[in-house]
Parts: sequence; C-alpha cells; structure tokens
Amino acid sequence: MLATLFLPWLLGVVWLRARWLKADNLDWPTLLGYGYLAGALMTTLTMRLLGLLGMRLGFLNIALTLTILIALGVWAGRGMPWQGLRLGSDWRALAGWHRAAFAGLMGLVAVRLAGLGLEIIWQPLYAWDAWSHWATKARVWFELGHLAPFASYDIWLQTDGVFTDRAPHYPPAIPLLQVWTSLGLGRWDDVLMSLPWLMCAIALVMAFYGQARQWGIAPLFAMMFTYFLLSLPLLDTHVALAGNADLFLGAVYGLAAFAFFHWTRSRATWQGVMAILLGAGCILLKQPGIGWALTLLPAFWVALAPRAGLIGTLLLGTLALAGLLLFGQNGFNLLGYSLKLAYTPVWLPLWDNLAVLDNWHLLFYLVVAALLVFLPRLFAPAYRAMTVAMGSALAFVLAIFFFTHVGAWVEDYTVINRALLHLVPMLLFYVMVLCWEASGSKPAIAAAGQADQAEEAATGIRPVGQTH
Amino acid sequence: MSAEPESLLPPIQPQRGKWLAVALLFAFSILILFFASLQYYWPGKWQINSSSLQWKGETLTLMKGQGFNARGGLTIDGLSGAGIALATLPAPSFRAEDYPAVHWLISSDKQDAKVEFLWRTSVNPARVFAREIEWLGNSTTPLYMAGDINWQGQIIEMMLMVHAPLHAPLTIEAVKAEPPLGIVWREWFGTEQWLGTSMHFMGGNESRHWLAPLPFVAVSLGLALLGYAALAWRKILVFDHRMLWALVFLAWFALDMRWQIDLLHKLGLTQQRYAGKSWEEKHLAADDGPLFDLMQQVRAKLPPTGQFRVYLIADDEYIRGRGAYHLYPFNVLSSQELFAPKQFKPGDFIVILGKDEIEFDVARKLLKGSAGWKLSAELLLVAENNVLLKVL
Repeated sequence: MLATLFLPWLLGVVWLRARWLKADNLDWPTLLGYGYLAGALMTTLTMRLLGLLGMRLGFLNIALTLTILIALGVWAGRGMPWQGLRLGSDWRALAGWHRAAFAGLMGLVAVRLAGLGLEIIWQPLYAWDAWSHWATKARVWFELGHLAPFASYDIWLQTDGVFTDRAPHYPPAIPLLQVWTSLGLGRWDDVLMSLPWLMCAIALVMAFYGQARQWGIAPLFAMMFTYFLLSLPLLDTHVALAGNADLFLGAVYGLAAFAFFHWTRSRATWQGVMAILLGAGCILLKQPGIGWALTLLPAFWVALAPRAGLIGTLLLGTLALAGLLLFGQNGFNLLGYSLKLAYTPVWLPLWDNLAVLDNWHLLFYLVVAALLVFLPRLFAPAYRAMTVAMGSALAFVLAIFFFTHVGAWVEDYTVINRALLHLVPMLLFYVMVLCWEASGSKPAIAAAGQADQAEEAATGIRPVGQTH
Repeated sequence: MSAEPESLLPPIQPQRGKWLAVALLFAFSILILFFASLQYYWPGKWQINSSSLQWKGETLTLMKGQGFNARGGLTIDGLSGAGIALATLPAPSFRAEDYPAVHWLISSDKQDAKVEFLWRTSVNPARVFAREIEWLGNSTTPLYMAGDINWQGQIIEMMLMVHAPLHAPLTIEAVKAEPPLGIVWREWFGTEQWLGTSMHFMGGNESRHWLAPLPFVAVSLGLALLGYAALAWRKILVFDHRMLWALVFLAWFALDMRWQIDLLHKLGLTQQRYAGKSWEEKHLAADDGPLFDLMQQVRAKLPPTGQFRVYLIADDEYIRGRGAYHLYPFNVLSSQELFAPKQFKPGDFIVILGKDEIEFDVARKLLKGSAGWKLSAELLLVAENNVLLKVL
C-alpha cells in the first residue's frame, strides 16, 4: 500500500525537477508539497488514460506506467542538482528561544497531523458526500477493474450498462485516488483508502511553509502561519472525516495560488507552470473547480497587462453581474449546476460562521484587519495581481452565496464553510505576505515582476514593499 | 528570488520582561472580559455557586414503565400500558435561581422517543411543569431554564417522562443542575462526538447562553492590543510589532488548545469504538451498524454476477443513500417510491426498507403497490419490516 502513497509522490517530485521548468532554487518542503499533489493528479490522469486504452485498472498496470513516467521524469531532470536543495529552514540562524519556538510550532503541527491520521485509520467512511458522491464510484471501479460509466437516474432507468449515484456527473479524480489506494491494499477497505487525505494535508502544509520560505519570510513567521493553517478546525475535520473532495480542491487551488503569487514577482518558469497546471487541475477534482480555475484568469491578465487587465476585469465582472440579474431569473446551468437567481441576504449565516462559530479560529478577523490596515497598498503594483486573484475568488463565492439559490444552503450552513475551505489556504498565504512585507522588520526579498518594473520605469514610483 | 535563512530577530533584542508583559496583558484582558460578561449575563448570581449538582442515573426511581440499573445508569427498555415511562429523582432540593441549566445525560441508539423533563417547586407544589428535551446525535442537549417563569423557588422534585414510541432502550446516565459557571465550563470546554454537521460547521448545534469562545477570544485580543497601544503611547513599553504578533499568536493558540482538547476527545471515542477492527467490523460498530448488517445479508442473497439491477426503496433519505452505498458494486438505484411494474425486468431485485404501505402476498408471490398495481416477485429475505424480493 505504501507504493500507492509514494509512487505518485515520486512522480510529482521528479517531474518538478524537469530541466525546462528551471526550478533551480527549490527547497525540499516546496518540492515535496507540490510533488505529492501534482503526482496524485498525474496518477489519476494515468488511470483515465489506461481506461481509455481499454486496459484493466490493476495495480501492476498502473504501477508499471507510473514507473515508466518516473523514469521519463528522471530523464527530463537529468543534470539538475539534488544536493543543493535547501531544507527551508536554517536552524543555525535561529536565536535560542526562536529555535525553541520553531520546534514547538513544528511539534504542534506534527501532533495535529498524527491525531488526524489516526482518525483516518480508525474511522469508517462517515461524511455524507463521501459515501453518496465519491466512494460509490470507487467501489464499482475497483471491483470491476474499469471505469464503468455513471449516469443520472433518468438515463439509468432507460439505459443498460450504466451505474448511478447522487453525483454521476462529478469528475473521477477523487474516486480514482481511492481506487488506486485500494488496489495497493489488494482489497476493498473504505477506511484505509482515505489515507491520501492525510497525504494531501501533509503536502499542503509543506507547500505552504516551503513557498513562504521561498518568499523570503523568516522561518518562525512562516512556521507560525503554517501552524495557523493546519489548526483551522474546518480543515482538520475534512482531514479527519476524509472522503470529500473539498480538502483536495482547497489544497490544489491553494498551491496554484501560491505559485501564481510567486510568479507575479519572480516570473519563475516553474511557478508559472504550476499556477497554470494546478489551477487547471481544480477542474479534475470537483465541478466548482471550473469556477475556481477561472478565477485565476483575471489575475493572470492583470499580471501580464496591469491596466488593461484591471479595466477588463472590472468590465467583465460588471457584465457578469448584470447578466446574472437580467437572465438569471429563469434559471441557467453553470458548471454542471442548475442555478437560479435568488437574492438571499446571507449576512447573518456568514457572520455566524466566520465570526462566532469556531470554524476558522481567528482567520477572518485577521483577514478583515489586514485588508483594512493595508487597504492603500492592495492595488500597488507589487500586490494588485495577487489582490485580483483573491478578489476574484471572493467575488465568485459571494456571488454564488448571495445571488443564486445556493443561498438556501448557506442559510442552513451546509455549503458556506465547505466552499470557503477552497480559498482559505490562498487567503492565509495572501494575508501572511501582506503582514510580513508591511511589518517593516524585513522588506520583501522577491524581485519585482516585469510589469512592476515597467510601471516603475514609467512612473518613477517604486512598488510598495519591494527592493531591487 | 532569494531565500536566505532569516530569523524574526530585529536589530534590537527586547528584554524578556516585555514578552512577559504581553502575556500578562492578554491574560488580564481575558480576566476583565470574563468577569464583565459573567456580570452582564447573570448579574449578581454568578458568584453564588461554582460547582454543579449531579445525581447518577441509578439514584432515579422508575415509577412507570420497565427498566433496570446498570453501570451507574438507569436504562428504560419498556413503556407502561399508557405508553409512557416515568423516572423520578426524590427531593433534590435546591434553589432554582442558582442553577439556570439542567442537563439530563441520556443516550440511545435511536432518537425517536419524545423525552420530557418534569419538575415541581415549593412555590406551587401541586403543579407539575414540563419542558421537552431535544436530541443531539445519540445524546440530549441541556435545558436552559433561566428564562422559564416556572423555574423559581425551591425545586422539590425532578422527573423524566418518556413517551412512545421507544424503539431502542434509553439510558439515563446522570442529571446535572448547572450554576452559571457550570454553563460557561460546558459551553467552552464541553466536547462533542463527530456529528453529521461536523463537515459543515463546528458546534452551533446547541443554543448558547454565554459568549462563544471565538468572539470572546477575539474581543480579549482586541482589548490586549488596545492595552498594548496605550502602554506604548505612554512610553511604558517600547512599540515592537513582534509584540502584536505575540498577542495574535497567544489568542490563536488559546482557541486552538480548546479545539485540540475536543479533537483528542473525539479521537478517544473513535479509538474506543473502532480501533483494532476490520473495515467490516467498523461498519458494524458504527451508528448504521444494523443497516450494514442487513445489507450484508442482502448481498449474500444476490448472484455474484449478471446484468440485473437492484432497486432500494426507503422513505428516510439517510437510510436510502447509506443502504445503497453498502450494496455497491451491484448496480443499485435508491428511491423513495417504488416504480411502476413496467420498469422492472425479470431477474431484478427490490430491497424495501420499512415501507408499510407496500404489501407482499407471499402465497401468490405478488407485490402490491399503493396505486393498485401488482408485480410478480419472489421473497428472498425478511428482516423485521424490511424485505428483499426478486422480480419474476
């Protein structure tokens, strides 16, 4: 079974070292974090390819294909140095109590992960969507050895040879991860097949910390925010009661956003590629992943052409809202969902879930404080693409909450936090960057992006929080 | 982009006393808010009693219905002819105003019985007052009595009444009368099991009667930050932004330790219930264990291969969906209503869970729907009011 956890990891890691990605200055946490999630997505794509070729979904078939892909990755990364990879933290540089605090925070993270891992190992499949949307497909595909089609009830009633469940149109990546783990086990076990959720949490934590360090953020500050991320009760619950897609979607979207933030500053090839591939990877995980992927487009536009991007984003946003108001009353299909315009003032559920119930600890207090304090610099050249990415994500989720019939599920609290889980890793990273760069203790180490440099040359104003 | 190792060290290392001052500032803010809010919610009453009154279930007397004492609790497993069971707690004797909450710690595998808390007071001893108790998961929520006009004077008797239907035994583990500080303790540090709502939100299933931990800590943090700003402005402390982060971290950590305790409690329950079991045994030990067991019996009756389909019919959405899940990889569809006979092909299977309006004539092998249609079928399995049929 260990092979099912580590082969995808190895696959992602070796391909991240491909020469054309130019990932020269990676540290280990970043490599391992991105490596697992990229590798897991590549594994599901491999399984889909084998299914398309008519090959049986067996452990040996898949493992052999992954091994070949790993060998190709090693070849693609030939000549890339492995010895120079940093740990992401230099203990020798930390003063006495800083070292103790860093170790303490790391200990808290480790204890949390261990507890959540035990919950996964002991708890039978529990979450409603896990057994009604995802594990249904996993069981069928595992037992039959091929990707048998799933269809809606209506089609099932009229057609032979198809299966059905409550979400037949959902993408297959999540159940395929469960199938792959079960194949490694050699039997159906709907408890242990959820171990990828623990791996996902570990990968998210590593990538968050690694990218924070890549940004130049001090080890202790980076570790404190990493602890903040893993301490979030809603995120923890989605690890402990594994089986839903939301954790993976949040992690993949988060990693795409971290990479995008870096790319806006450094234009590093591998960061840009990861932002695009993992952004697109959201589509593989869950239907709303299409929406999340689209939220990165305006940010890319702003990063490449700041003025046109900002004006265009505003125009498109206004047009989208107007379209929703004009044509939404009759209902329409978007991202596989049937949506109907219905303005619902969901302020109270939002307040209750973000500020009263301990779903996210102090995260949203911190977000509001950071946005208010740093308001003047949010659209400064150094930050605007990041701000647009975050704004698009928030606008996407709030438009769905307030202006569609989904508002009813927000009112009964069943959608609100699960949807927010998708953007929380990105939000925390964004706030961490804002706070770090504004704190004055250390300026941003990141180099400015080309657009910023162009703007500086044109205006003579140096982007806030940057040094050259 | 460079990423040289850095530390959070500023050019000037502050003295340890300043870090201590920040910690004290946060503790002081918490204390101020704590006592101020106690005084706001229970003016003049919160300092009277600090400990709860508690009676074990075995001290209750069963006046009506059937039951027995076991492991310190009273288990009720049968009702009287009038369809009730009544357990009383003789002469508890305490002042109602001092104990604004009552918590009957009751557990049951099925939560369909109506359960009421009854009490008598010295103010009006001839009259019995009642409040219904709500179920949460497989246990019950506390009753907040302070707003009840009948909760006053000396309490002279407390009772619990169980109404029909009682589909599973119900155990009264203890009864607690809680003072204000007891309520605070329970609402802040009371743990809960994993619930169906856990994937959606934390807590929020019980009504709260005091400040929730998150706004409490947030306001305490705000007070501490204000205090720090004032001290820095008066030049008692030198402003250092790291102190702000120290305060934020302390507040976050305080909340998270509460969550960590809750997680450990949940993990303990999970371990107790599932550790060391195979995946099938875990399902048998779960809340839906009887359903899993039934579906295993159904699976054993189905042919291992073939082009047949399985229709699972049940009213309850959870039973329907979960039952269907336990039947995969068979080609199963769950539905609330039975389809018309033309939908079925010979060799298909129908699992009907607790649908009393559907009849099956065993002798004539006919399934009869409420709309008057009939379908030839063979009975393969009967378990209580659940059946497995094969379409002929």
